Order: sequence, then C-alpha cells, then structure tokens
Amino acid sequence: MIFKTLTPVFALIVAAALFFTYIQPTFDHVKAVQAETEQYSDAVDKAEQLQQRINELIAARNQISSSDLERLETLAPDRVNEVEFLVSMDALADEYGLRLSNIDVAGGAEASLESLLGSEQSGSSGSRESDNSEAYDTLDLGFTVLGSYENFRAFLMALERSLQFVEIIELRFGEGDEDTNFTDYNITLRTYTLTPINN
Amino acid sequence: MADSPKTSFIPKQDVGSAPSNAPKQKKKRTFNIFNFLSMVVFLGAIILAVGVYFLETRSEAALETNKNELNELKASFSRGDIETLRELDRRIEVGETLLSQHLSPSLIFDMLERRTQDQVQFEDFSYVRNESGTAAVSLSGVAPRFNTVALQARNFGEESVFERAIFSDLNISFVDGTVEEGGPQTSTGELVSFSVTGKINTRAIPFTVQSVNEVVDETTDTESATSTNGSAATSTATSTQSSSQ
Repeated sequence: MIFKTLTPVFALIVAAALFFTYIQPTFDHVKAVQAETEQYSDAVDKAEQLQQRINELIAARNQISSSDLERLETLAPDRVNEVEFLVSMDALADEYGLRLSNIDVAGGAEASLESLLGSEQSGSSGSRESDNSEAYDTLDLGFTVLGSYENFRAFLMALERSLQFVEIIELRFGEGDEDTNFTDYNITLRTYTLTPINN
Repeated sequence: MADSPKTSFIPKQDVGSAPSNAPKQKKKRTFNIFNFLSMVVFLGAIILAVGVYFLETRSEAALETNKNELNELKASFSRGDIETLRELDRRIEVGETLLSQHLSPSLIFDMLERRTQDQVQFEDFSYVRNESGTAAVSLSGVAPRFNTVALQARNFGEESVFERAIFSDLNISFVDGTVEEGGPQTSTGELVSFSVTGKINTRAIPFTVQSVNEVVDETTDTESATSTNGSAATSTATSTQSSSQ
C-alpha cells in the first residue's frame, strides 16, 4: 500500500529532477548551439559571397593589362626615390631646353632632420607627410629651371601630364634676361606615395 | 414427533466460513487521477529528455559541420590575392582622388595670353596652391595709362579662371623717355604700375587630357602664327631694304 502511494510521488520527483537537471539546461544549451550555428551559417554565406567576389575581382584584375598596372603603380608609387625623381626632372627639363638648378627637397636639411625625428616616432619615412586619412604621403620638391617662356610652357604641360604624378603647388618668376630672354622659373612640386597598409 | 421436519432460519454452516456455492466477489479496480497524472508527467519527462538529447546531438553536429565548412572556405582564401586586390583598390582610389584634384596651371598662362592687353606688361608672376586645394595668383605689371589698367581689370573680371581679381598698388612713375620697341612705355615717359591678386577658380583649370590637348594645339597655332608673322615681317623688312637700296 505504501509502495503504491509512493510510486507516483517518486515518479513526479524523478520527472522534476530530470527536467531541472537535464532537460532545461540541455535545451538552453541547444538554443545557444542553434544560435551559434546560425551565426556560422551566416558567416559561411558571407564567406561564399566573399569568395565569389574575390574571384570576380581577380578576373577583373587579370583583364587589366600589365602595362596599365605599371602605369597605375607609377601614378601612385609605394615610394619615391628623391634622387631618381630629380634625375628624371633634370632629363625632362633638358628635353625642353631648360637648365635645372637650386634643388630643395622639402625645405632642406633642417626639415629633413625634423622629419627624421618624426619618422622614428610615427614610422613614416623621410620628409613625407600623410594626407587624405593617411591613404597617401606627400613629398615636396623645389627647384629652378632657366629657359625661355615657350620652353617653360611646354615643360609645365609635360609636368602636368607626367605619369609620375606631380602637383604644382608653387610657381614664381619675374622678368627675364633682356639679352637671352631667359627667365628663372621657381617651381615647387608635390609628389604622392601610397602609405603602407597597416593590418 | 421425532421425524418432524427441522425448520430453522439459522444456517447449518459455521458462522465465518464462506458459502461453498456463493459467487466470488470481483476485485474492484480504482482509477487514481493522481497516479495517472504522475505517470504521464514521468513518461513525458523521459520522452522530452530523449528528444532533447537527440536535438542536442543534431544541433552540435550541424554546428560542427558549419565550423568545418567555414574553416574550409577560410583556408581556400588566398591571402596573397586579397593583399594584391586591397593594394590595387587603394592605388586606384588614390589615383582617382589625385586626378580629381589635379590642376593645370598652364591654363592660367593660356588665359593670360588671351586676356592681356597689348600694352600691358607683367613683370612678376606667382602661383600658389595651398593645403585646402585652393589656388591664388599674384601678378605685378606696368601699363602706359590708367585706361589700359581699367581695361585689363575688365578683361580679368570677365574671365572665369579668376574667381576674383583685385587690382591694387597703382602708381604712376616717370621714366627717362627711352622708348623700347614693343614696350608699354608712352612717348611722354609715363608708366602706371599695378598689382593683381586673384583667387583661382579651380574648376576652370582642371586637368583633363582634352584641356591639355587644347592648350597644346593653341600653343602650336600661336607659335606657327608667330613664326609666320615673323617670317612675313622679315620678308617685308627685306623687301623694304631692297627697295630702298
């Protein structure tokens, strides 16, 4: 008789214990796992889309000719070698019958020392300054060219069309020599380089 | 009297003993709702536990599958390709930004050549482009009279390259009267000097291949015209000399 009475009570106790010690925690765990699974599922979908996009972009990149890629790299190079750049400027000036002199790289030695100290602190190189949310660095170069006005105009247009991208930020000149008709043209150019990617 | 029938209501069987021919009393089965519900709850709990167990197993398997799939996809990404694409994207973006801000200062000279009065002579030129992208020009020059300066101011005022041209530092000076060929000096030796400062409308001097080509064409035309005029003048002079001889 006692056994008959205790059996249902015992069954209820076992059911309650099962519910609270196993069913509910397991169900909560299942819900958490399902939520995580859903996140992973989304991530997998996005990864598949990304993979597809990467494949499309690689295909698009492969369609760009190597010469165009080289031109793009020249337009926005990783770095500018000041000496090589000035040599190319000298060659360009020579091509247009101008004589290049008074070269000044971003304000001379003092500015270079300051920038050198800055480079140790910030990690940037030389006398470059970051701009446009650090997408690119700039480097200013000043020089003087001596020659006729016509040649200078042609040189100026060549600079504007130069594949090595330069922006003329300062240009000054006065009266030329009466005999030779030559004038000193003081030019300051700004060159641009890509800042390194910081992962 | 001895054979008289026994009539009595009292059964002969012993009290307490069960009647031999009486039907057996059926055992009564009772329905206890508490027992029933407790069993239902118990069985329900067992079934639920089994179900939750299989659900957990299945969910974990699904999670594991997704994790593996993601890892496989992750492994299939080429870091080199991604870096190359990122760099190309940055390069294109920077290139577009720089080209959109690129100016052709040579167009200013084109404008000056078109808009400068014949008798005006500019002696000094400065062009500066500041950090914000705006540009300004300052010029100093001389003219034979105020009217010429006024005409020059009007010419510049009509020009879209200048957002605003301000003429200042107007001074009259007298020189020794030596007249230079083609110079602005008048016969009286009076000379008006002036300065012009003007903010450049950068939209008027954008760098475009077309604009550069136009300038190149115009410069070529001007040079050929100059050389033509020069040769014509030379031939005229030669003919004059020959006729005088």
